[in-house]
Amino acid sequence: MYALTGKILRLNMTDKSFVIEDNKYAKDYLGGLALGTRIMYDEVPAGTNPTDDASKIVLAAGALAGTSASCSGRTNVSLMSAFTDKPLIADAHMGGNMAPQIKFAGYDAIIVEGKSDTPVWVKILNDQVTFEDASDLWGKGTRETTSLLNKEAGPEFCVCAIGPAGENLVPDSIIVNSMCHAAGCGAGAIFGSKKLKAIVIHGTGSIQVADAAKLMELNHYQLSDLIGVNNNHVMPSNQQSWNEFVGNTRWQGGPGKEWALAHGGPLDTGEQVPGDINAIGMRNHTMNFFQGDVAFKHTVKTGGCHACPIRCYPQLHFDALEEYGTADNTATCMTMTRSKDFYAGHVKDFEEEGDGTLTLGSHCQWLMDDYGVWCGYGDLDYTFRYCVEHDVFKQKLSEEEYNEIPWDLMEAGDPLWANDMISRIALKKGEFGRVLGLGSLRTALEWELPDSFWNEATGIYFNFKKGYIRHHSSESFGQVGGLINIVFNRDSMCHTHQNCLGNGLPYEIVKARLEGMFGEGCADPSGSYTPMNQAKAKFAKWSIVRNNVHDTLALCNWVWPMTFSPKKERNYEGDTSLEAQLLTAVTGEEWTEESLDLVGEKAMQLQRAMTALGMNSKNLRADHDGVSDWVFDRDPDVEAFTEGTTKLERNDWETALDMYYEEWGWDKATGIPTRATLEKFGLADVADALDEAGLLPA
Amino acid sequence: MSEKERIFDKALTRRQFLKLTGKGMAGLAMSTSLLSLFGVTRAEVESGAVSVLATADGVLVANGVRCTGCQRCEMNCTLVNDGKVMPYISRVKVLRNLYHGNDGETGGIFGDFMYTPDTCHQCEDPACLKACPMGAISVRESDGVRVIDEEKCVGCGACVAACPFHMPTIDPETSKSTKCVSCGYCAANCPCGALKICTWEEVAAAM
Repeated sequence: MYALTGKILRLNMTDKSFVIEDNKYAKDYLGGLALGTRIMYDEVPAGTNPTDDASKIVLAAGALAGTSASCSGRTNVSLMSAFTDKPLIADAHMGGNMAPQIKFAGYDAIIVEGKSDTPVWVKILNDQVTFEDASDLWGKGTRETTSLLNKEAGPEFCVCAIGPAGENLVPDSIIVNSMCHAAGCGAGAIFGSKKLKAIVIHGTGSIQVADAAKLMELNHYQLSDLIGVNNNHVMPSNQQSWNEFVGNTRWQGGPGKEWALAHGGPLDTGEQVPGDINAIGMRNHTMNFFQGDVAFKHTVKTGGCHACPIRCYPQLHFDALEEYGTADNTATCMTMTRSKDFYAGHVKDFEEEGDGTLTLGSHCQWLMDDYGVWCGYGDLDYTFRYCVEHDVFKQKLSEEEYNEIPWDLMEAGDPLWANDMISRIALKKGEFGRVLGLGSLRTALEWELPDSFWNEATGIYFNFKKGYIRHHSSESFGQVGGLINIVFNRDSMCHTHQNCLGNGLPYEIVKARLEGMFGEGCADPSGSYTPMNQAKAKFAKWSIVRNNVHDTLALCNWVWPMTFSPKKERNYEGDTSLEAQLLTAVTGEEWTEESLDLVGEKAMQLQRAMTALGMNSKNLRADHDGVSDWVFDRDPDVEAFTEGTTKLERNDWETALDMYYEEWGWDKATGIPTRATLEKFGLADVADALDEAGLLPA
Repeated sequence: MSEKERIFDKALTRRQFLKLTGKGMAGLAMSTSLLSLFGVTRAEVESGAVSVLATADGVLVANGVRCTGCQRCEMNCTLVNDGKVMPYISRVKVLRNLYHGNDGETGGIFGDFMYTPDTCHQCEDPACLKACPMGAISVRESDGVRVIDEEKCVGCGACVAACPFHMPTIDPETSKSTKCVSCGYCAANCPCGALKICTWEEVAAAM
């Protein structure tokens, strides 16, 4: 079998047994998101609590994992969410090295089911699977756990572990591999409920490809002609010898931009001319994009996921953190950029002006990854800050608990504050720790937070019904970003649209390219919005479909698709057919953009139906797709669709939903897929299930 | 033999280079022109991050300062040489150093971020060749590369055990040993320029 292994590894934690099964889903679901979602549908009843005996978790590699396709190191994790008011299907994602090792070990996915009575770690070397005692590891952080297990199993094994947060079933918890590559959504709590401390995996097998020469040719084509950096920004942020444009982009490298702490002295990242494959990895510096040149000053080198030439994880060192044991760290944007909120305005600089946010952010990130706490795209950070600024802790905690918390450390900008507060969450210490770890929606419900929580002027929460934070929502192409943000059961992880925004090219070039794909008026510039039209609905839908294709293959949607190019001779035009070309080369089967997009859409249709079943909702439009008031009420002195505001308009939003649902083939009144739509994707059984539950649109 | 080939003696340059570099690079008084050719700085060499290996076609420079652990070299090696992706048999190996460094203790992404790709040393006195009971490993006369005769190799693993650098690997799917043939595809496609092959002609000019 080409590209896929055709096998699934099923781990039964209850009796510590395993089965290697044929992957019956391979042809129709490919891998990653689509595969994991289908397994969850078939095996975990709607409404199952994530930490119940019947709950399962699926770690699925993509069809392109381990093939050498760029940015193919991501693992899709399908699970029931722990942070929503009801358990719902959700997907978490992690980069690093798990996905290729799953494939090289001989599997397309790993299903974990049942519960062990005692702490266990599972060692997987190809078809040799053993359940090992993890009693001595229980309570340890993910980093010490990894080091110990690498000594036990071997230095080449990939360790995917939980920290104390997962052990203590904290809803905001992660599983993490390769130091910092984490899947959130409460994945840690599911591992913890099964007493699974870690999966430790190495594969010595091969991935067979149908046409190696074509695959190498396509890789070369992408690296020479198409790829930019993280978010596929295709123009540098500095003037080099070749670039026509300069943008505020994540392409931060260039002449004079140095990895200041490189071994052997400062390393100039130099010219990065498109076509020079050996310089691609020197382009990106996500942290410098957010924090300014102070990040380069702390940079040893950059890193990232398996197979990815875009190194978006700067590897940093902070002398000031030596005494706290967190001096060396690596991470991409979140949580490092957002953790300043844990200090609620009390960030202090360390060695030079402006280094406080980065230094404390890195310290917080180090601790959260080690304890296994999920930030929820800054959700936890924001919730904490809101509670400080609105005296929620004073009102909700007992006087004894409130006084016991060392607020003076927070106000002093002391790194030890983060040690204290993050450990409280991971250990569920007191009401402070227990409630903050629930996630924003459950925190808001438990502490009866007022509407202002969802509607702070800065606009944090897009979908208040599910409590998830905006993630490139209406600030990105207006209704397009907004529509993308309503469908998932977590923050939207879709970057297809975002990657077209702020990529360094002038708006006119971006507009022309996107209008060629979706129609006139599909891509309003930021702060210059127009009323809804069908082209916007098409753009929004395609963005999610392509995101799902990426999570299925599984390519990184923080770089893919190749909508634009850094090359002037291509008129900066990318190639959105490359995913299909790669899949054709590795499988030997003919794939087109259209046929591949159908698989991505199928994953959405299935997840949407599962959401209706999980919520037992006859009307997702009313019950699920809620939008916070700030989206429409911000900038109260100006009307929507006037220059300078990103606010939307309520009646127009209803039109937007109508058009969007129509594109998806969902019933306009309820936002639920119709039988005809589900049957188009071979999901007649899902339509039957909706019908039986009384949820199928008439 | 062309005039150019007569003037340039590859074997002589290789011997001179090996004499110059000895067993390692650290502390080596290397000319500025050689450093420039290899794309490394004296400080990088002195930090121990750079390994310079004499191969048949030239010098393979592996610079741990620039290696960012993407492992594309491992995949590209087997794609081009074996027509499949199988990092386990790759002739350049970085995964085993990625997490905890080449010493397994202080480096890697869990340490000080130092990890350097391992490559075949093309040893002057190859232990793999001497250990092979089938006589399957030989020095190719034309260019000095240590090559494996797949017809003779029985996959016994003697070369694996003998190599002090743990470089040869038996492909479990073919039961044949694999080792570097200096094709250079890993270097040509390294996104960070951490691997570089300089021809003996270039080395001779810089020495």
